[in-house]
Amino acid sequence: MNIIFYCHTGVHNSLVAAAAYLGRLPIDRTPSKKEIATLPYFNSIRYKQIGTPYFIGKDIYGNKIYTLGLGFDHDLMEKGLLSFISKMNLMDNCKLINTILKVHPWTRRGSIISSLTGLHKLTETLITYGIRKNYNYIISMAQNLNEIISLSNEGDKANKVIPFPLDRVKRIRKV
Amino acid sequence: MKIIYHCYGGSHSSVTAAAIHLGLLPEKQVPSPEELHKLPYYDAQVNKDHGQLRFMGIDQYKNQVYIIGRRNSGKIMENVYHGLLKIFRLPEDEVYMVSVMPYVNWRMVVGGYISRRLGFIRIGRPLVTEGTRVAFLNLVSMVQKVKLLVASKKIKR
Repeated sequence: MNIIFYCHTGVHNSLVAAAAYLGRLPIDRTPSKKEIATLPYFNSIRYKQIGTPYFIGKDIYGNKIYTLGLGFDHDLMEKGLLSFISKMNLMDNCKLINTILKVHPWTRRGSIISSLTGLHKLTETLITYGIRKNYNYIISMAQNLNEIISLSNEGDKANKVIPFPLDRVKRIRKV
Repeated sequence: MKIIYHCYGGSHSSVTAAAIHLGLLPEKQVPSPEELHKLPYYDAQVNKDHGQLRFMGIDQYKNQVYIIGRRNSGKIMENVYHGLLKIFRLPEDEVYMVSVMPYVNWRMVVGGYISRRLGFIRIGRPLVTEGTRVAFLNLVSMVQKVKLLVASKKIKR
């Protein structure tokens, strides 16, 4: 199965979520700026390249993990993505993970400036600041996905866009 | 193969191009406003319909013809669709995307905005219909090129 994490650019929030899911980022603490910035493909995209999927790796179940950018008109592009997948009958073969819902405002601003101007080094601080602020959400999403995937490997094949697990985040915060 | 005609709103130029492709409109003469208004989805899609692939029909070579309104994200949409084909290991020429925006004139832009965005259909629709009629022959030549290209790709396959 193909698991596609998507955000505005495919190299920021979705990349960090994919890396956390694959165990390349810690789940018990917030990673440092350097840990995030040294991820392959991180913050290395120009506006014209947005929409190109990146292969990140394979998980323990053999699923292929990709990240995808949908641009800054993401409501429209999300509809286009779902529409295309259903018309091509690809729903059974993929899971889509929306990481846009909790993109920190600074991450969004940084990614817009970075993709439009190419000032990757300058915007890195802004973007990593936002990601580190919202890392709790990203981790809970990765853990939630892990549970769903392990369940689906046991036979429950619910192929839908996985909603952001807000209730789970609240539980984590209470603890 | 799936042929996708895309423009800003998916209401006028892409619908007309798809209709020409499918033979719903005559190629040799400019259609009357009534003929255009009878087309499915013509001057009908609104903001919330943008991004939805709409099936228009199957052409004589068994290609499926779709339209989509993609606002200003045409390049991103092309990247995403071609990227998905690579992910799922489908042949690259399974989907052929055609931007109709280069053939859109100012009457279509202004009329489309007034009719679809502002909702003043009585003012916007005649203007956008007139614009479509002006652009019609250019759209016909574009569709003919697309048909030739698609046919040559099928022969290569």
